[in-house]
Amino acid sequence: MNVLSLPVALAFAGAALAAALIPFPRFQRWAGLATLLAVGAATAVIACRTADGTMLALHFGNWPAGIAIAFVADRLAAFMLAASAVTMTACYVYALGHPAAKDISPAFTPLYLVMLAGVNGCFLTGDFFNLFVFFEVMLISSYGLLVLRADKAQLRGTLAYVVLNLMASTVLLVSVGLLYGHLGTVNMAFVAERLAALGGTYPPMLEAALMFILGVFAVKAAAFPLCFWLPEAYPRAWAPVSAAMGGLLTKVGVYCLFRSVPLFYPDGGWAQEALLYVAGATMLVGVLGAVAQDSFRRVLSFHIISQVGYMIFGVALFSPLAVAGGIFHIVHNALVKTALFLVGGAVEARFGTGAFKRISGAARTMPLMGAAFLLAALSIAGIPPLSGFYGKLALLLDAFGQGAYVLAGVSLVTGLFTLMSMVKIWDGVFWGPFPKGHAHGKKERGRPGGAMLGAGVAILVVASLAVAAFSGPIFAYAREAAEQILDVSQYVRGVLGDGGAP
Amino acid sequence: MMDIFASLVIGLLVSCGFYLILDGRLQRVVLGVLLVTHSANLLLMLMGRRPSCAPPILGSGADCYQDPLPQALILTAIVIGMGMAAFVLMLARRLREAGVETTDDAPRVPEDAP
Repeated sequence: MNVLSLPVALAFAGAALAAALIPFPRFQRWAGLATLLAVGAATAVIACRTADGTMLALHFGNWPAGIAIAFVADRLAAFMLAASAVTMTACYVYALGHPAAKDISPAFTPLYLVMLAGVNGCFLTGDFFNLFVFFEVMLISSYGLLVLRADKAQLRGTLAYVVLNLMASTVLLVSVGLLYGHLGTVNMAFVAERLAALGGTYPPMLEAALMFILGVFAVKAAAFPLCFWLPEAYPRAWAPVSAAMGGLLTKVGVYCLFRSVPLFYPDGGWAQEALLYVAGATMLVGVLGAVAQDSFRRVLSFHIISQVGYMIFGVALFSPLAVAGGIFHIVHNALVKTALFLVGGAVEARFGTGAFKRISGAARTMPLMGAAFLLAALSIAGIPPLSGFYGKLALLLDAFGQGAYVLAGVSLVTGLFTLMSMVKIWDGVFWGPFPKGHAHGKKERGRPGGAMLGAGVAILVVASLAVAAFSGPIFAYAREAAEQILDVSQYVRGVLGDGGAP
Repeated sequence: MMDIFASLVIGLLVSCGFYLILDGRLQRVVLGVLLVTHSANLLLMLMGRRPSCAPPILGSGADCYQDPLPQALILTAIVIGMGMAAFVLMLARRLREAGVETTDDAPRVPEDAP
């Protein structure tokens, strides 16, 4: 069995097993954890094999390349798979230790693993129709996860999320159909090859199809102006669920933009220019929204939007350095944003609310969570020795190099506001006296799940510190990944040529 | 001629679908979503059509055959659409039970609810 199919196949198998084990919650938990670790191992193997620039391709059923359904892995895909393995495992460990884990529906584990399969499938797939299918796999499980502990407001937020995503998926389906009608293929490498043969000017209907496909990815990434579904849907879901989604699902949309823009427009084209505006607006709108919020996970949800702006900024500048900065930022953000959400969930579980005016002094009862929050918050604000700094530095250097001064300024202002809203959370939640009327933390310390909660957060914080400590090699890797995705002919040869695995 | 008629029908279905979604009453939103997804399937069918070609069965001695791939894509999309329809119906029911009749009824996410 080819290792490329494993991150998806194992996750589906684990989901089926976990569904069969619903009557035995204990075994189900172990099955879930074992699946996540196995997917992590498969990811490590893929990462090792692609690290030297090899393009792995798997053509299902041994059909010839271009006809077969393909899975493709290059450095970027392996990097994303690694980020998904770490964050999904951390959130699962955290979920096992969450005080509400006993009350949660036993459908949690199967749905969670199906979501993992969908996310990994999106990273690995080599054709646009399967991308649509894996989007749906990921989304339908995320719908289920969002309503696990639903109240009225959460149900309404979910309805908005479902309807918007269904419409976006429908548009994607139609545009993939248009693409097929014009190019006679949905295989990404073939699409790139045939677009290149057109020599830069596409017929209007084809251009429309490409435009719609990129637009749908922007919706999934929560880019401005279609970003307002996110703060409605994420903040009130169960903490581990909202953390996994906040950390990963928008990144899938961003990943698809990184993958498709060079395939569609090898020299940037109009997409590059349009994405520059989108990136600036997304950064600014997201962070201004965040500053205006006054509960923990709502601030974080708006931050997702502004951070997506940074990533899109990377692909919009369209040079190896900037794209590398964007890729670095995606991975950093998947780790750190998830950690912040998990800390937010722990604080809300402890105090029963996330509203700043009803919490204070959390640092007194939860000193370790406070420390984890501080590290993650400073990192996301881009304070130098931490992991958020390097991606932003590369973006800024390249923006100044290309003369995009306005956007460089916007991203700096966004960084300032990010710091401001993180200070707001710190001030509202962790600082200050402990509120009267809450039992002091003694009861909490004896609770067995506490260690698991801490372990989930610790995995992510340690991973983000490791990214900071080894930022040199990791950035070099991101740079190579960026050169690889920008060199479309390499992708085409890797999939269609003889570079594939047997 | 057939193509023009079919395009008009698809356009009508899509506009009805979006009208219903924007109406905001839950049953209408659900119906609208279903209409739009189904008209997308019709559109795919229309785009893959080769006028006056035979069904894709080899050995029937025709000069040209219909392309079977769009039909395979549509089958997949129909299955996915069914799953989504089931979920949206269930969600609408839960919202109704929670006393929500239109998308404007439910509170926006409150800041400090427990």
